[in-house]
Amino acid sequence: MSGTRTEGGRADGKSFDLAAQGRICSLCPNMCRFLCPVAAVRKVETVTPRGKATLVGGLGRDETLWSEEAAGVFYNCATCKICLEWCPSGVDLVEVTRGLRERAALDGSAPGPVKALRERLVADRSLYGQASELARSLRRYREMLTPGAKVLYFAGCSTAALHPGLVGAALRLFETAGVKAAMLESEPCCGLPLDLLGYREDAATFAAGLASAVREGGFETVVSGCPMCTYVLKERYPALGVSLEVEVRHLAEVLAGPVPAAALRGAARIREAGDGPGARRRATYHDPCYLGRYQGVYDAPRSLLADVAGLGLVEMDGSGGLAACCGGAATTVTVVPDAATAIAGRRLDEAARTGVDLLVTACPHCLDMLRPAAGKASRLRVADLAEVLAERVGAFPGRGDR
Amino acid sequence: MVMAEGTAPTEFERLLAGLGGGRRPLEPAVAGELERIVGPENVFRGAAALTVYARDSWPVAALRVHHGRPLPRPDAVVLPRDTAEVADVVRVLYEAEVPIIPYGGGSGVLGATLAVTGGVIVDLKRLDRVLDINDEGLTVTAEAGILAVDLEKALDRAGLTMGHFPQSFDVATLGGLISTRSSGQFSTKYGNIEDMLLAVEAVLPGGRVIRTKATARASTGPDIKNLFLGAEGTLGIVTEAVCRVHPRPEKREPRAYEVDDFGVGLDVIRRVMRTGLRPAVIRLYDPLESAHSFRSHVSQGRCILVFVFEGLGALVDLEARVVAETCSAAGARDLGPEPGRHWLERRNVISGLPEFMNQGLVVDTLEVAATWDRVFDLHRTMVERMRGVKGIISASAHSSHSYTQGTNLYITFLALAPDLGSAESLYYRIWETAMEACLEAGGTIGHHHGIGLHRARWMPAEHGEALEVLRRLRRALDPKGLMNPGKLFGEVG
Repeated sequence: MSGTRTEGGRADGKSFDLAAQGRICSLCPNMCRFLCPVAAVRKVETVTPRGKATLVGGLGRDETLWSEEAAGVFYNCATCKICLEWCPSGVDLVEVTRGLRERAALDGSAPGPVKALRERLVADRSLYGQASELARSLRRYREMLTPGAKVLYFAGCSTAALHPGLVGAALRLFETAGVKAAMLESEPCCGLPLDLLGYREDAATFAAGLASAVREGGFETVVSGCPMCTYVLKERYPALGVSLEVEVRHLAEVLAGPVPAAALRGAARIREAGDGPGARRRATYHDPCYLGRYQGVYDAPRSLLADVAGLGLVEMDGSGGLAACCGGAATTVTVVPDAATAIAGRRLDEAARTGVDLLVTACPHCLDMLRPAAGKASRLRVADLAEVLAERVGAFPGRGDR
Repeated sequence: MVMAEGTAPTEFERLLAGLGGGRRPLEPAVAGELERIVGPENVFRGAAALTVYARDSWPVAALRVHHGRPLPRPDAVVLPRDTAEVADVVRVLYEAEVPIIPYGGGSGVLGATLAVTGGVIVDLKRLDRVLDINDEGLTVTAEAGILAVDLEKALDRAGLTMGHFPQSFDVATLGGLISTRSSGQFSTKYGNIEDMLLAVEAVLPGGRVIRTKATARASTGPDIKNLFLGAEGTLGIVTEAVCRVHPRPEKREPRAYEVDDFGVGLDVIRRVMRTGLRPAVIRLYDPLESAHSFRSHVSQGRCILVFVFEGLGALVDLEARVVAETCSAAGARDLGPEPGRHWLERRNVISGLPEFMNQGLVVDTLEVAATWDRVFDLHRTMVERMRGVKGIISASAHSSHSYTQGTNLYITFLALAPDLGSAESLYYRIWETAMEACLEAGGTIGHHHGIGLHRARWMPAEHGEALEVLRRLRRALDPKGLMNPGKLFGEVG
């Protein structure tokens, strides 16, 4: 496969042969296909894991197969990694796919919407309009920050643009938990969409910019409620050759630590005493792919929901490592938006089958997929971990955020 | 003809040549008609899609992908969304004399979906709805493209089960299971797919839609639905099915025993089946497979017998007691529930297979069956002959689907070819040896994988003159010979 990397740069430092991984996958009877969210809604064989692997094999012998059509196949992946969770051979098809996307990005055969997204990102430094405008919208939270704090709260552009109330919720939770936090004057995109779509060099440029701002601020820890941001900072920056030299943690991990969790539990108890005892409310938790499978964070959100929010958790059919994707990754939303919506609908059906009326997640992208899927008619409320916790400890700012 | 450059044609390539070179490109007008019926977004004609649809899970197809050897590609793939669209697609293609190949999960292991003469693949996976679950009547009606796993999940939510759990459970579609006469791992209790099928809806060659009546039983002439069981799309396309279902079992209990040898194990199974009891799972592994799959549970050179009982609690207890008595009388050693639990957990994990093949090994499984008087000899004959093929590393077997009159043998072989080029030939030599040994020992050449492209050549030997009935049926229903050409009937090669 000329023009395609033959080795993947994995975050764990191990390199591996993309073509060899594809070969192993193509020799399997597609045993993971039923878990693939894109295959489940698109139906066409080409987008199944083995379909992609077969195409990798085909490209190995016939370069003329490479085309916009072939490139498009590799963008028909939610990058959710559930196939890897299932695979007894340990084939990381997402890494294989990444290699092919990088090729498509380089030679211009990436799908039109992908190219358009890249141009917009490079121009605006944010997924949602100019990064500077987003920064302005976040200024109302400045009073909640501690200048010179060693903890940097990085909202991420999806949270800032689409769910700004989560910024307030996170900062109030920090306050209640005794965590002093600061924010950047202006938050550029972390670069994950570019990395995900194959624009490695652009992603590295974004990464270098953000890393430099973090270093200049003298921070020791970066915390975000967006698992895609924490993943790319923690795992992909080193692979992109960018050193961040700080600890990166998801909001749930920080709040579930012994000291913050005890403070939040205390605040919740005081609130409960004021409100009087109520029936223990039940909820289900949707594991975001980039928090669960990518970063192994499964217990922290659950313990916060149970111990702080006082919720009785009912697990969906697929949870933890086998939690189904919501369709929210940049690739699916950009390239196959209808499929992304259908994937969200499937996950919401699973949640509804638990019989609870609250679905909690810990990712703005999941929220953005699952909330519209629930629609106005559903009795299922979809909420982010931060807002559920903030409501519970009486710290939700209620400043007219959407 | 599809051939690797600069080498002698392989058996597969010779077979393709035998199927004739009358392949014509798909007329743009016909492609346009297909787009009009299913929408342009559901017609695929690009090289990438056609490369993916050129294969299924047949090891020769996988080997050719692996070795960079070409496979015949279809001219287009269409994904209709309902029976009416399937009918319209078939009508247009039949009139235009374009071969039609139905496609489900692509999990078949005998090349049944290979577009050997070109044509259009009709992928049925958009027909994925569960139309009715009738708890009182214990039936389910579903479209043919639903994955078995999704159908079973829907039934499970209603407190029911179809009881059909082939190893391809997560991969195969309902239509594919019907079209290949599939068996599930719990078939001894719940039966095979033919025992579950109550009625079908199918699109006949030419596009006419027929439905058979779902009933408890009928004396109304030969059973029409049975024509579609195992027909592999040659007599029409199954688009919907009504199947029997069962209340979800109240209790499940695994149990395993060690027996001195394979013959003793077969005799235990025979005696259990004579009682009329039907343990859901009965699996007997020969010494090699016992050592491979249950190393920590069984003594070297002995055989393991694994049972899973399920159903009403009292029935499970009775089955466990009768099996314990039968095993005790045969001198078997009780191994407790652990090996059965181990099997239940690992039964669909195929770890090792892709890695073996990636290292150049030739691996496959084949399944045969025989009556009790022949099955011991069938095992010995087949395994011994296969072990005699130069290049073979191992040939072993287990019995996994039992009946009052006999059982199946599921044979696994592993071989190493001296070079990449000869892997395909070695594969064919082993299969030829196995099939000839099977026929000689009085076995039937296929138990539950179907026939497809690969096994069709042994159909005349299997059926003798009786095959003419199937061939005439085919000619009557499909006079143009366009439905999945080259498969099942053994008319070429």
